Amino acid sequence: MTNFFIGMFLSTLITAMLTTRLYRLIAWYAVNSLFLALAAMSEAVRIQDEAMLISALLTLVLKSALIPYLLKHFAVKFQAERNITPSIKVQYLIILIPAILVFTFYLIDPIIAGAAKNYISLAIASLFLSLVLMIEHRNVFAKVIGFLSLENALFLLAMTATEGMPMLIELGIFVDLLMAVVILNLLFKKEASHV
Amino acid sequence: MIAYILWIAVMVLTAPLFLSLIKMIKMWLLFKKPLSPLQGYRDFSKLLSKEVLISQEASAITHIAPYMVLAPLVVVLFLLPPPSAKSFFISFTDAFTLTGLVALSSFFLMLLGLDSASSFGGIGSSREAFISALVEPAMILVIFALSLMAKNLGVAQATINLAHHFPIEHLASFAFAGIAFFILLIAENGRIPVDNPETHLELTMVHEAMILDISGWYLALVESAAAIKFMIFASLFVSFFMPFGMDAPFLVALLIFLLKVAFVAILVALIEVNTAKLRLFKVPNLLGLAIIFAFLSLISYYILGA
Amino acid sequence: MFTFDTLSLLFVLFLALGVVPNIFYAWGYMDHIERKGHFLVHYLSFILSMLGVVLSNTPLAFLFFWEIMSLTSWQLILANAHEKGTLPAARLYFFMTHFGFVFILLFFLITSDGNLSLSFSELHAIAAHFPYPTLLFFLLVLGFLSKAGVVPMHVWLPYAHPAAPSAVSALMSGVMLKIALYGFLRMLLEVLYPWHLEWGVVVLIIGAISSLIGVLYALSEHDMKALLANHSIENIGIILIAFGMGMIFGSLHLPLLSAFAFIAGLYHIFNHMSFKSLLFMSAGAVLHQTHTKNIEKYGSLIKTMPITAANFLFAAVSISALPPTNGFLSEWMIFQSLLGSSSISDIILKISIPFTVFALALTGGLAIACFVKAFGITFLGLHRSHNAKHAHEVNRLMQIGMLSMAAVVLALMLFAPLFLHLFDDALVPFGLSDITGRITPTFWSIHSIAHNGGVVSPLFLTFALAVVVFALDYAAKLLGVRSRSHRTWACGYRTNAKMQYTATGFAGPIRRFFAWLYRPEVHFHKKTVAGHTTKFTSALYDVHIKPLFEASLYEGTKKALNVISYWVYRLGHFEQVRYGAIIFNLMLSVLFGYRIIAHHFSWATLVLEAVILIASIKILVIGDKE
Repeated sequence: MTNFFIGMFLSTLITAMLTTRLYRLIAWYAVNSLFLALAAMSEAVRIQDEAMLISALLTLVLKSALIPYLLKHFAVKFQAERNITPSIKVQYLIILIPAILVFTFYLIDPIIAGAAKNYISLAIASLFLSLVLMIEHRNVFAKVIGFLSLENALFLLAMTATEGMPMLIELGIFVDLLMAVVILNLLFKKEASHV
Repeated sequence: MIAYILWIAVMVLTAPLFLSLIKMIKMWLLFKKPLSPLQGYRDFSKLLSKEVLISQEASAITHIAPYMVLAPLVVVLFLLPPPSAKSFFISFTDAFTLTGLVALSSFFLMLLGLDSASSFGGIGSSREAFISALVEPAMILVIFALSLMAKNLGVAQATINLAHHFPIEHLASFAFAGIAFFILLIAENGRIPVDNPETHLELTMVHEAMILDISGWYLALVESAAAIKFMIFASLFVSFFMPFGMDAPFLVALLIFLLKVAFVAILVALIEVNTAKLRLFKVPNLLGLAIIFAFLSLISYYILGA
Repeated sequence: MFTFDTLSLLFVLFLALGVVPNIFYAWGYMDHIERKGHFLVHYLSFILSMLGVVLSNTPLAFLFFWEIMSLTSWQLILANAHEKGTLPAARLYFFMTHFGFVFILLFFLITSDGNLSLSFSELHAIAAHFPYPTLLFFLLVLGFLSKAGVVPMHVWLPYAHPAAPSAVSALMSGVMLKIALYGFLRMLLEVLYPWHLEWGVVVLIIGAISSLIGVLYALSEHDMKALLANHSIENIGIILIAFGMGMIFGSLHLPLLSAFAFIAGLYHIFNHMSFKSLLFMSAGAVLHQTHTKNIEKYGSLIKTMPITAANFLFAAVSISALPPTNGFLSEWMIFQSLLGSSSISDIILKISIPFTVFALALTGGLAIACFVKAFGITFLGLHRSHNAKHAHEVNRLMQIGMLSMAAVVLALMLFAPLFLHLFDDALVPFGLSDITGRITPTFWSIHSIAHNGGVVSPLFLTFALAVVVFALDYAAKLLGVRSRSHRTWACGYRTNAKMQYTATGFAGPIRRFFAWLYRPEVHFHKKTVAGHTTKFTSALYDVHIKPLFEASLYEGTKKALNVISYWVYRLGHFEQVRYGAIIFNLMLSVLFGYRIIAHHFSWATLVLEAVILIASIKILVIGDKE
């Protein structure tokens, strides 16, 4: 089942890359995190790791509900530009996205051997894809979403490569994420008062 | 063999029903008085009794093209996967032949649009050429992925393999192929958000623009070609992505098959009600999504399945 | 000196099929040619020199006939020397063909150790001892494929082929390009084996790119013959995809798949010869009548030139790879051999081959658009100029030429299994497997070699289509369909030729979608009435396509330094948006660098990775010019 969830994780990320509306992008991010949480859960059940189960639940609560809600809230509050057209055209993306998927696999192939190779390659591919998501938008919210997806991809990498990071680090990352969102809020407040 | 002929006959006869069904559900959801599901048959019989009005500027292509639009699609009907695993079917044709035949049909439809020297026809043909050029790669890639998963290139045999042994380990790539194929179903049949089959506005029409200048018997041929095309795609979709109920006795299996097609029709109607038509130059975004999902389906088949 | 082995004889058959209808056509075309003696001498010696190339067995004879072939075709381009554009086209052709010749000469000098009168079979031993076989391979690619017109060595083709008289265009595009491929194939099979895996990949990539670029430029072309010439680039690409797959399978020890791919390639060579000659002949007939190559000046010709139109339609259906025609059959075989890639064990190669499938499928879709445009604008609707209005059917000899070529197309379609037999027989002596029993067990069907592959049957499909059409026609008779004719409704106005869609308009959406390739220059002049923006008396809309490769590779080299310094300047002045992109590329280059330096060095990966890196920098960091 992990296969299926990781696949859906990738597909939601890709769909997020092609969206042109901000709220929809946030929604796709939520779905993306949801599938990540589900993948982590099924993996946790498989290897019977309670720590991973907890971080999966945290992901579910924080990333697929709280953070998207906050972002939406801020976007409404600060009247962010809702039309976010990617600066990379779709005719490039058609080739770019599959090429990233293939070439990460090609790059990972000599470095890592073992059963988890395929997952790791997909995780690194999603790392690249979230970077592209950051690159292709000029809107700050979209860039933040890209950053958050980057974090999702890292979580996936940690989960698949090392069967879960130590609990403490993961908690730290979650706090970092929340901090990032809070800082974003502060920044916007400042900008709004400036204008 | 009798079952086979019965099945083909049922598909041909029920084809207009499903298009009317879509329209009916849409009207119902929009709080209009729904039309009868038999409207498709009424239109057909009305067109049969009318005379054919031919444009003076048109050439022999107008007389040939309607037949060549319908004929490949009718041939495709005979090659589709059967509703029941036990009945007779033509096992050897593969999906490239099917897509080729569908493309042959739209080739002549595009010529028909250019034949009458009207600028509407040109608009329609030009847009159709653009859309179908982008549909083709997604289609072939989806087929590639599906045939790998089903372990057979023959369409009919592949669906029977799927029914007997569903590739649960490739669920992710299966889902991607399903999404991509559904987008193609919408694009090839000219439904919202790619084309709006109900308006005759020059800004939006694609399929309707090409057939503005034909009437009577020829229009009946082209309209039934549209209905059959929907039937083909819906039946391919249900037999690839909902491969269950095929081991039942033939009549029950046929009933299940029709219910599944009706389900697809309802799905299309729901999408039509809930989305706006895309601008022509936004359509590539949708089709690009289909292409990427088709790629993703293949790549995840190789990577996750390996 | 000469050889009569199976491959040579196969290509003699190829020449016979391609040349005989052409002779009838050229005979009918003669009144259009001013210097008849000059034309006849060169035309006949052109044909004989191609025969010589195919039959020769020593490098010396091969080079001799090759050169004669180049020179005579050059002279044939000059047959209409007074027409605008012919002289530069001929000059470019002369340079490019000798550019290739140098590399072929080098190849032979190396592999024969200077003794050019050895036979081809003796060259293998010398070539096997040469320490850099990849160099030899690239000499082959540059030498033969520049003559065949693959991207990026195709720039001469869209100029040279249209400039020649139509009969010669048909010969050059249909036959001569394939002679170059014959040379390539023969050297690969007889001199330069075993193949490296990378060679196959290179040929595959070249093929995929050529097919896409060719069809895209064809689509945007207004000149009928240049359109067809660009389509030749596409089809050469498709043939090379088949050869590339054959070489990949060959080097991975999958002999059955390899033989299947090579047969598919040979079949497409024959098919392309037939339908491309037919297209050039019918386009030539149109040109003969209307005295213009501009597609926007045609229209409505199906009413006055029905036989030409029917021939063009048949060939157009075939070249668009629509069933049940022969173009479809060979493309079907190529798709089947691409599907065979699932039995490759190297997973990276396996997941890269879908990109070729994508390219080939997109090519197919665009080819349909292209030929709907070519047929629809030329033959349908209303006549767009006086010349088109006064056109009438061409003379009997030209009709015979076209009809006999149509017969060749039909034969290749209906008797495909028999031809496949011939191709396999031709390849077996060169060490490929005998797979006729597997792929053509009956005379009416073609089976795929892949495991659980599909089956296609041209006879069955034709028969089924015919039955359905006749049944529907019979139904129409039974119903007693009445008909009446009236003007096309044009919203209250009188229908006229200017209301129709133009070829430029038809290709508009696709041109807009691929604007990054075409870089169209749009000129839009209108005379407005009293300052209104929407009211105008006359308007002229004009689009020009810049040939990307010509501009970038040939003229652009001198500008390269300038541009690089501009880019460095732009990067130096950081834009916020580019930070992420620069990080992305840094990560990519670190991973690439690791793979090349620490893991395993090979030139092929180096080139591949450099190309990818440059492309990603171009797309992500530099982006489009605003």
